[in-house]
Amino acid sequence: MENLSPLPTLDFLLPEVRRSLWRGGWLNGAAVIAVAVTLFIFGWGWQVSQLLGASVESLGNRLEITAYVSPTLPAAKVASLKEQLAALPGVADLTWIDRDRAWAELQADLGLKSEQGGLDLFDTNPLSDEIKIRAQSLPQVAPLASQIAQKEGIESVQYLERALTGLQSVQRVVRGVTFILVLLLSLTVVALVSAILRLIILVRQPEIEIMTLVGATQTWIYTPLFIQAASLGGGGGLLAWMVGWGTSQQLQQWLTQQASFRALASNVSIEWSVGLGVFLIITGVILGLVSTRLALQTTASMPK
Amino acid sequence: MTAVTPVVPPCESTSKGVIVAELCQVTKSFGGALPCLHRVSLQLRRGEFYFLTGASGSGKSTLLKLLCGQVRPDQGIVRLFGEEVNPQQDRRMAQLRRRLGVIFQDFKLLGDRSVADNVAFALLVRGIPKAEIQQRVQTALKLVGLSHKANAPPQSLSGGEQQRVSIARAIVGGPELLLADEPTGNLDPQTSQQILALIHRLHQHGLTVLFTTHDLALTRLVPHRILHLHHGKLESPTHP
Repeated sequence: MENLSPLPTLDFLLPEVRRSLWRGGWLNGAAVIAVAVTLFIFGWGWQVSQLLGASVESLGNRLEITAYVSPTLPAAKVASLKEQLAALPGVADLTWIDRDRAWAELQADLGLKSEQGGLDLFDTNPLSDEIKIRAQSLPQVAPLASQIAQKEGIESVQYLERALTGLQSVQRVVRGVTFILVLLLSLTVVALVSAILRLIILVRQPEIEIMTLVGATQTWIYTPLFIQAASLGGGGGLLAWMVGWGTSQQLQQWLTQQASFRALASNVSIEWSVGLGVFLIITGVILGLVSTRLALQTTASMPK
Repeated sequence: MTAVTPVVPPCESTSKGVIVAELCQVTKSFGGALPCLHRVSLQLRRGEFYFLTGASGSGKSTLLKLLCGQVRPDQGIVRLFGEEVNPQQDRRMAQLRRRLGVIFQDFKLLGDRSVADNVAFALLVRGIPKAEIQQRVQTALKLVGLSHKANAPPQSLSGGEQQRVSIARAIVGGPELLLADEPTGNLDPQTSQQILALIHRLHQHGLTVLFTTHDLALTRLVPHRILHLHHGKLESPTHP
């Protein structure tokens, strides 16, 4: 028995891929554009999702938890409470504002001095000690507030629960919509590219029949198609990145020219990175390979 | 022709020569009322030349497709070189097919390649080095008398020449068995005789041949064994 070479040689592969691309004609262009459009939308969806996520995250960090210490807490227990709070998981920063400082700050904020009246209504300082705690990340805020409220000596806890929940919901929706959109678009691309490949397989059927009859293995017969589809997918990914990079440059430039967006533009970069480009090309290649597999499963002439 | 028995009792061992291909009680249908082949048994011995005759639709092409592993039998066993033909075993089938040469009525030449490239294609897909391919292609084209047309596109050749290219492609790999599916079906009588003469010459060099045709006149030109298919049944082996 003759030994079978497991992988096609370059002498065979390169001319076959070239022929296959030539045979594909405008269908190749259609496949590249389909992949490019999908990955372009995916790229922008990803960018917007990342930007929104980062904004929500940074906003979430600014949402502090404010805890008020019970006035009846003995001074001896204050240090112990401080330690307990600082040791809670998820605490990034803790600031203790004692009631005298808070009282002075309140008077200063109101622009009042005791001889001007108003605050003289109070014989004694009506405020209690206040603790400002910043969580390490957004999802930790709510459970941390709950843990603080349970500590002995804490009278009440406040944080912007509704706003926080709303922001988290927005983040979830953006991620979910991006995921669903990408999934649907990917399925569309795989269906489209595999249909194009099925047509190319039909066009190449005489060659495939001859190859089979002269003793070529399936690997030899179909590797050129896999390479063709991977090239089309990779090309689509590259095209998506190039167009995305161009549009992101234009948008960034436009934002810096708009007075109302200048602050945003200086803080946020919407430029498509090289890393994103590499990711899109790899995704395009994978889409191409999956499409080929699907096309072969539905077209390959198996003996009946 | 007289109705008779199969060539050899099905799947029995024989001392009359090495069997290169055999069908044992093979039945194959394509969904029609009658099977295309019905309980056909056949043994092809090394170094023999067989004509397989029968009208259109008698099952000649199906029989060849079964031997190539292009279709699977509904019942029975097909063996090539002593091994059962199983189209699902890709690598095993590739190895078996490399010991076969196949030619067709419609030549099946690739229009976007030259004559030499068409012949070379059979070796290229086996991973044979370029230098060796070149040498073997030259020899094969010389054998079929088409060395001077090596760079021509197949469309520029006559029917007979195209069939000779097809033969060159079939023999360039050094097959042990040549399956010729109506190779003269599209040719005029004179060209048909030339093609038959060429295949007969290859047979004289030791090649085993199974030659299907519906043209009984051809079978009278060279003295070889004749198998006849009628409505999917192997009817009458006749001997010269």
